[in-house]
Amino acid sequence: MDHRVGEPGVTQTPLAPAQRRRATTEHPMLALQRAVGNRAMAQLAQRAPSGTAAPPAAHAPGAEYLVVVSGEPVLVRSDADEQRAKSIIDTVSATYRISVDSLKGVKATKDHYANAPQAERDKIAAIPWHIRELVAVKKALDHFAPILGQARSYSTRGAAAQEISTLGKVNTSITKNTAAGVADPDTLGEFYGSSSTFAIYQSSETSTEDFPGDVDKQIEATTTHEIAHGLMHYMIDSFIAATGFWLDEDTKSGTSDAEHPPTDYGNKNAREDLSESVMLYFVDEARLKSSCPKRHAAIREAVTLWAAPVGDFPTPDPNATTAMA
Amino acid sequence: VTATGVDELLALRGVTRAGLEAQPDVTVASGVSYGALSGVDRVHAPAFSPAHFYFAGADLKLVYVPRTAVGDIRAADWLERVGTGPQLQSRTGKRALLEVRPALGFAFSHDEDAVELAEVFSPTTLAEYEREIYEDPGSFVR
Repeated sequence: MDHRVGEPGVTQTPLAPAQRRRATTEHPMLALQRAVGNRAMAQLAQRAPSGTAAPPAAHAPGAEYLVVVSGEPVLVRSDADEQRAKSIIDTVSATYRISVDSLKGVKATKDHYANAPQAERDKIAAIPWHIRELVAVKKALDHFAPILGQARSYSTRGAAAQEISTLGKVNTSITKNTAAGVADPDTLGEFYGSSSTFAIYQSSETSTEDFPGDVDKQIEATTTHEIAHGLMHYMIDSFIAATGFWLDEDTKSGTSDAEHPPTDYGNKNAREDLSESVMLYFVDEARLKSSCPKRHAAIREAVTLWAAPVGDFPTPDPNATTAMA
Repeated sequence: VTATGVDELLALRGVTRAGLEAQPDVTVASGVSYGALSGVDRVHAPAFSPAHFYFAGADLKLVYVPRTAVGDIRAADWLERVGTGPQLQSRTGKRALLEVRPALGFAFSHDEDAVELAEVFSPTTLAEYEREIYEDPGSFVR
């Protein structure tokens, strides 16, 4: 469901042509903040429907410029990009029932680092999407299509509420939830379960940690990892049982002959291991299957079950003359 | 034994291996590790305690109390009991803290006010705890 439906309209201050031209050459966030200011940027992102951010303006060929698409700021290079962004955001909302709402990503981040100094929390802000990020996020969500939106109600996960309802693009997380917490240049993404929200952070724009040289695949992978924290946690017990590596969600079994997680990152706890394994299952399945066959089998079984028939339905008779709707 | 209070958990240091192994539902995993502890045996008798006991021979090295046993406890209550002290990065998540009170022989992880797990061990120093028991989970970036 699109949470913006039914909200009253808000008068916007459109970007002046000179401001918009400047946005094509400066760092996007700086240009955006210079153009409309943080507060106006927030309102813009929250309220504006597509196409109202700025009047038509000339753009240097190939240069990025800022538009607002379904309420979200997006940097595009062409009208086709803008249409593509709109298609992705609207599809994610309508089909997967996940709102692309960076302001909620900001709020979730701030809420979950409530013990960090206010000055650091004040640095957290929504930033524009790049088209490549929206494409990668859509790819990641597509992996979970059978348990998202309307399709979920027909799946084996239909009885449980969808664990993710919002995603957003945010400039930074915070290093720790204490008075020593500062703006975090390293965190790529974070899932906030109690907010049903995950955020993709600016650091993901350049990271290729798991897929050297391939930013797009890394964003898809990071997003898949975050989604898995929400949508796949239901299988944590069967995952733990399958691997033998974990005593419980937090602690290793400590047995030397257990199958190890597919990445070093997965060594932290069983939840991170599950998210890493699901990430590879969808983004680099051959790697998971060869290095972690038990994990691969457990996830394959879970994913296969998503679409299993639920209930006791009659099997259509292929020889019957009466059509079944 | 129910895992509710810090002092009740500290009293688990009096549990003996022989006593545990006399329990009808006991299981023993030999030659395992826990954090930096290696080559220890994990003894578990759930009808007696939800905790897992790690022994080197007959010597109790550590008691691990999982979140299933302490998940409804407020961190504020435990912090009031143990006071302020060192905080390390918890393995349970980026926002979680491992409160270590080495002189008490007690550590617990919490995320905000939710307790996640507890460890009981012989009184020691922070440096010893970090060397002998703690395993740094590294930074959480996703």
